[in-house]
Amino acid sequence: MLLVFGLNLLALAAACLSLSRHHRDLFGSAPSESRVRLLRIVALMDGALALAYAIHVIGVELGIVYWACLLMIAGAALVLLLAWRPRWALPTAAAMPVVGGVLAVLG
Amino acid sequence: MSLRQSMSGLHTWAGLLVSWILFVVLFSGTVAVFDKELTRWMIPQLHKLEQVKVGADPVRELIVERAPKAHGYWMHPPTERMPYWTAGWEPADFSEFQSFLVDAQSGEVLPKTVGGNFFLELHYELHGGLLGLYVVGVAGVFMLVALVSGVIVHRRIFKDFFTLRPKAARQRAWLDAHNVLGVLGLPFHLLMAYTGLAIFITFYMTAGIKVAYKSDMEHFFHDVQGAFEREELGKPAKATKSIDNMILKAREAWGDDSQVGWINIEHPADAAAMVQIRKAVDKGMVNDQRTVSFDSGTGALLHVQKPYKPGYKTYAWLTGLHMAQFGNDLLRVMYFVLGLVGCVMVFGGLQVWVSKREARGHRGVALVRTLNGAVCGGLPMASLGLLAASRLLPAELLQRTRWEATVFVVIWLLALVHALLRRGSRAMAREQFVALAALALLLPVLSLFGPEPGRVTTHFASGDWMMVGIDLGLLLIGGLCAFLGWRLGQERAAPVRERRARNEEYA
Amino acid sequence: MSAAQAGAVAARTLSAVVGGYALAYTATAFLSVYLPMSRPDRVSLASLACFIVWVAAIIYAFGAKSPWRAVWLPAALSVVLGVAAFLPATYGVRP
Repeated sequence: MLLVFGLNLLALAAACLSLSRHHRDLFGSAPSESRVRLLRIVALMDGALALAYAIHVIGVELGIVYWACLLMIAGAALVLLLAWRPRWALPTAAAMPVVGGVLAVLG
Repeated sequence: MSLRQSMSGLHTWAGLLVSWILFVVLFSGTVAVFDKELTRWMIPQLHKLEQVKVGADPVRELIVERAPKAHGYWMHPPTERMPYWTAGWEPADFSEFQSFLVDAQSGEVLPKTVGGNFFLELHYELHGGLLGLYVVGVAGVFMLVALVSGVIVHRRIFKDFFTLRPKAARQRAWLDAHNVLGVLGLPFHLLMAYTGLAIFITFYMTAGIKVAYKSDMEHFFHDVQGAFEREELGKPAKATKSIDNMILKAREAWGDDSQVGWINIEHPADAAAMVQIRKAVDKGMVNDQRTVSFDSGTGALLHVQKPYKPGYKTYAWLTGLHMAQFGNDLLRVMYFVLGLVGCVMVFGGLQVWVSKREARGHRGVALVRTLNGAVCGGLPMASLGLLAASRLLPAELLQRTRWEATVFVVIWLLALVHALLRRGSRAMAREQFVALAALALLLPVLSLFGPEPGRVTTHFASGDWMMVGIDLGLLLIGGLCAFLGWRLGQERAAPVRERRARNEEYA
Repeated sequence: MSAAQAGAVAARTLSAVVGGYALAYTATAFLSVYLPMSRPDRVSLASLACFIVWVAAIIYAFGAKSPWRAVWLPAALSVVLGVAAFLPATYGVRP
């Protein structure tokens, strides 16, 4: 489930960066149109991947519920990071799915 | 008046009026996610369950001893989250259901406690019976209205999706928090409000039964569940056959690996007495408690309830989604976190209302502030006090559950008085945080002086992670409250810094 | 707040609370009669849907352009649905 959480977090981070306010905060300038499009595609893909994996592990009924809960909690986590430790936001969003993936493969 | 303006007014008023009741409902619901774990925590005498040595028949004897004239006996076998027998009876005079717990290894009756169920009852009926149920129902509808109107009003719902500026001016910061928590948790808030109302639907909406069943509730329940009933014969009962044997037959009838849940003995003193064995609510979503019915005197199989039809299955599915008994511990942790998000969202809304109006000296601000302190501060304090009472009150105390409830009420009243005396000021909030921190940190320490199975050290040693979680959670809450109390004191001391920060925000 | 404004708010509130519940009630009854399913299923699903109707009615009561419309539209709908539901006596109780 950490992988699902991590992918959701990455998806939301990408969605967040596609908004000019946050892109400016983290990178100093607004994102170009093509970058916005790319970020949105990354966000959707990661979210879909997370959902697919959740369903694969615990079935459709529970999978959707767990994925949705983890998505909401990942959102809250990202917002808290951006508010108090913005420089940790992107590294965490990048690292979490990797750690989750490793654990999933090992466990 | 534009739609946005009218919805804004609706959201503010509907939200404000219901905020305190809703906070009680959301907070108690959040705590009640772990009701079974809390019950366990509140019985520190309970040893870890290695092997179930006590069957249904000895438990029945214990109920009969206590209530020979009851018109219904109930019992539930030990499960992973409830490692004891739950037993109870419906009194002959139709007064409140009485229950007690039995150790599944020694067969002894455990000390009485209100358990985590206290929070569950607070959640759906405010301990107020039918009236309380209706109040909560109205609050639920208000919550749905507030959520929908809130979404309509939120001007930049996508642009502000991730925006939280804690260092901004007070009103802006709280508005950010209220919006962010509302939007991020929207699926959860909407679904929990809706499914919560759906559970008690037959209390809130009888139109369907009126038009299709001519108001015959019994007929509807019978039809929709496919349950089995039998009238009393008026003759004395034969001796009961072994319930443990019937359990084996029930599991055969189901044919899968379903566990046994609630067992009910209907009119035990009558010749028509039945033993009804329900499926345990398992890890799946649907709250499936299909029943197998036996004749109590002969042990004959009378009826096997068929799989639920679509109407009731939908109802059971929605109920399951709300009650969070499905899945695993992680699911309940997630529901707990999301529930807390809801509580903070409601509190944030109140803070927005206050900070918008305190500058211009609105008359209602002091009242709202006081209520905030009394409810949003008082309820957590009373809850921690209840946990402390469950550990401090002597195990053999008569009417122990009444004493526990009294402690809860008294602490809440004290918090109310404190809030009134302090007029909802910042000093009140600080003192509340200190009290909360003290109570929360005290509890795991208290456990060290109590029975061995209930100590935080024992929980750690035996790898009982849910119990460790509660103890650790209490320490975390204590630490957080201590920190917040300290922070509140600091803010007073550095107003200049705050003003400078506000300028930076808008630069 | 002027008397007219207070009256408008009162009318909308009444429509939301009373009219809204009436609409939810009659909508539930209507669906409990006309949904193409067996009786217990009709009643269950119709009842479970009632809160959607009530919340929508409350939103409408305050969002409608005029207070007059906020009052008569839900009321009229309730009457229509109620008559359609309760008039055919035997159709509603069909199993």
